[in-house]
Amino acid sequence: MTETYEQLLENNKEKIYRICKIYAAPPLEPQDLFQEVIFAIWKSLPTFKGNSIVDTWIYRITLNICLRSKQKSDKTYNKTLQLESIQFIPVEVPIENNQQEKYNALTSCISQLNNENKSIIILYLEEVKYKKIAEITGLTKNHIAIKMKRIKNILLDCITNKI
Amino acid sequence: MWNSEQKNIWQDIKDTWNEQPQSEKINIQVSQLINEFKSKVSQFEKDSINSDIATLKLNWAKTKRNNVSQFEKDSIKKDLNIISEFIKKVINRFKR
Repeated sequence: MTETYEQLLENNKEKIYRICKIYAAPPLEPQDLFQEVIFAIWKSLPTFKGNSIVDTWIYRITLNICLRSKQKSDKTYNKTLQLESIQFIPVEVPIENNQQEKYNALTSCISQLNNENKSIIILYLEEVKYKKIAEITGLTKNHIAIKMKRIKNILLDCITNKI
Repeated sequence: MWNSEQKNIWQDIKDTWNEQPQSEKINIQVSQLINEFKSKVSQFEKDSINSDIATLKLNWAKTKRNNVSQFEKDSIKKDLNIISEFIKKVINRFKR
């Protein structure tokens, strides 16, 4: 089980963190959410029967944890325990202003969407097919297609105004 | 129908998402992590459950407060008065 879990984390940690960054809001940091997600994955691993593809399962857990965290107010949220075995090491990357600007505009526009639309567009950007998005969100494939048209218009308008 | 320009724009947006600047590298010591989970699991879950309960209580209180309008309160009061009157009448009949 340890090897499976290790492989799972190695293959998915970046994508989990990408999603956590979108949903994290004070008092929660993306790192806190990330810890909650990987804890939830660890807890769910024994019950994962392989009926769904690993990716779908990971996305479902990640989005559930992230959405649940949004419902918790400052007053009711108890910070998760800090896990010493996870380190977030700052990396110095050459800053391409144009790329950074685009990324900031994109995340800012995604943040303005409602939770359901936010989940859908994140999965789309992660290159998840409509059929899988439907499985993860519990909506139908047709419903996803209709929603995507609207979300794309909203997002495109927003990004165009920001760049 | 989507034209190629729109497709290019969306591909660019997808690239922006997937190639987002990485400000942090995530290092995980898995065997140590699992030991941490095992040792902290009860406290971790207790905190999480307490937090969930607090959220539910708060939301329930809000829902209750917001959903019961003055009209409903007045209506319930009227209904209670009618029921009380009815019970009084029934009791009086039995007394006779």
